[in-house]
Amino acid sequence: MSPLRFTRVDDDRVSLSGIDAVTAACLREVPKILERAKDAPIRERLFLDPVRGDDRFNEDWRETIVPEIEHLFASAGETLAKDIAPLAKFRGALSFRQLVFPSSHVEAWLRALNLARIILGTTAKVTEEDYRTVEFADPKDKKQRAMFRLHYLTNTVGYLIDFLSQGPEEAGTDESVEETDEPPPSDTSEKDDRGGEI
Amino acid sequence: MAGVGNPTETTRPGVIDIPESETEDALETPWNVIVHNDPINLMSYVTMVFQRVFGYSQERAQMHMLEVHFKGRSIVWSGGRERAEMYAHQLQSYQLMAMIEKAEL
Repeated sequence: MSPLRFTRVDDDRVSLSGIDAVTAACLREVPKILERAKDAPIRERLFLDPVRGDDRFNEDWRETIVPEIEHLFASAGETLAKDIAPLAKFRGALSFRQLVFPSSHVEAWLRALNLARIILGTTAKVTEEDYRTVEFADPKDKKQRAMFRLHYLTNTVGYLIDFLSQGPEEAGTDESVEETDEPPPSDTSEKDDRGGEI
Repeated sequence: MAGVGNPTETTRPGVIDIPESETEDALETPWNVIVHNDPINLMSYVTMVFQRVFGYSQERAQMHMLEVHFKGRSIVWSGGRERAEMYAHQLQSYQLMAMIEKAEL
């Protein structure tokens, strides 16, 4: 069982603990993966024309709504990139690591990690069948490489969803946070990070 | 969402005349918000998004998620066009494949 775990440190901070070397490497790659969000196949996947056959409305949507969502995604990616920056100094370390970041960034993490999964999956043309059949035997195989990264990011997103689905009591607190001299990343998330909530 | 508008004055007591065009707007065909299946988004993620966007219970959100998964799409909400557009916006913000279409009556 993976020791990866999101935990509430206090009202303002969340920790991701149990980060192994492979998960750390996959997380470090996320900002680079997100740079591909503007590629045509990814945009086609992310931004469906909402009304089939209504060209005028769809054009308006592309001009007004799509840039707004793209901004939300870019902002989420920037927030995650700042929060995972400390992982750079753990390159090659084999012991489990921990990240602490502002709890207001959790929504940005969710969007950025899920977007990275969509970019990896869309680029590699991953199908549902691939989850059952693709093996991680050939590191030179493009699809296998994408599936390998997808697997680790899926794991992280899964734990994040578990964390978000828990009430404050269930989420518990992590008293084992290693205090460092470095201040936690500042709260840079935008208010619309929680735009989907009602 | 189309409103009913202000009723006009009438000479007949107890009867409110509503212009025909406004009644047509008020009774217009509802719009469906459709979510299509995709092989990347996690089932738990899709369920969580439905709960957040529509305020659905875990059971209802899960039912729509399973419909998306097994049937390829689900009508997750029906109603006025303006709200349908807003929901499609929110669902696309969560990276779900969402569209709207006029309901077939």
